[in-house]
Amino acid sequence: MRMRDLRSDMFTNRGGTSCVHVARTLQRYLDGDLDEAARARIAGHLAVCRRCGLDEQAYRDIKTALANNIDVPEEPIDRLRSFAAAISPTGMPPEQTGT
Amino acid sequence: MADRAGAVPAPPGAALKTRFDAIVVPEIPVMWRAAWAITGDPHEAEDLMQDALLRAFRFLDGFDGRHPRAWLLTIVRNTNVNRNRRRRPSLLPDGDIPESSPTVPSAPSAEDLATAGRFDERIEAALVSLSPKLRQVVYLVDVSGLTYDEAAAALGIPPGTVMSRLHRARRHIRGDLERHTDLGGRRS
Repeated sequence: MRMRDLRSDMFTNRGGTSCVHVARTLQRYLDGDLDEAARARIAGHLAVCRRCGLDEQAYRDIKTALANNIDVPEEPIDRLRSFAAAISPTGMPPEQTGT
Repeated sequence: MADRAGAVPAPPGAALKTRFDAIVVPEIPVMWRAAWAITGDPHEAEDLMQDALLRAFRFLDGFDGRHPRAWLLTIVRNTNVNRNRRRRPSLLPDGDIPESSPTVPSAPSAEDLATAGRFDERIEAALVSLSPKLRQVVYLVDVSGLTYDEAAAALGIPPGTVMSRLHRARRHIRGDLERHTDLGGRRS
């Protein structure tokens, strides 16, 4: 009886959707890949389900750390803009000035 | 786009250049991040980008104007495939990923960080330990901010594959963090 209660708890709607559904869609939620209605359902569940909320926080921490701590070298962008500006109207590459 | 009614058209090269400036140039930062993620090396990525920009200019006349970012990311990807094929035709199957890429520029080694215990450092170490295919999607989506569709265009794979690789990568990173930091104690 208690096991059945536990299993049913896994599938119980909290905030409009179940833990199983949230587990399946959490990554898309974090990446902003859901439409507004789906996003709201997941957000509603996360607000009231501690376990799923902790999952969300763990993955959000990882995503934030990746975005903030891995440097993409940005210096070449200006050089590439200059390169693009110097492409001739016939599509020829800029003259190489030699290094 | 010749004008059959007899109006004087703009010189084709000048019109193309204007279109290039409007469509391609604003996307250079995104193209650059994709090139860097694909090659794993900033110098290699810059060379790739120069080739890709020239290729975009050549193909711009036939571009229908829809989804320019996806079109340009596909050009970056195809240009890289062609470059690799020219350099080592027998080693790189069509559309496959060089096993060595992408690397983490200036990242400390996993061994250095194995005992560090700091969350952000562990993130980098976990990233290093991913397979190249998983690491690429993390770079494109999490580090560079591309959407699933854009990352799919850059890698030449379906968006669903981007999604599944990304989720596997994050699970791996989370598992690594749980083993090496106090994250496991705080979670679940």
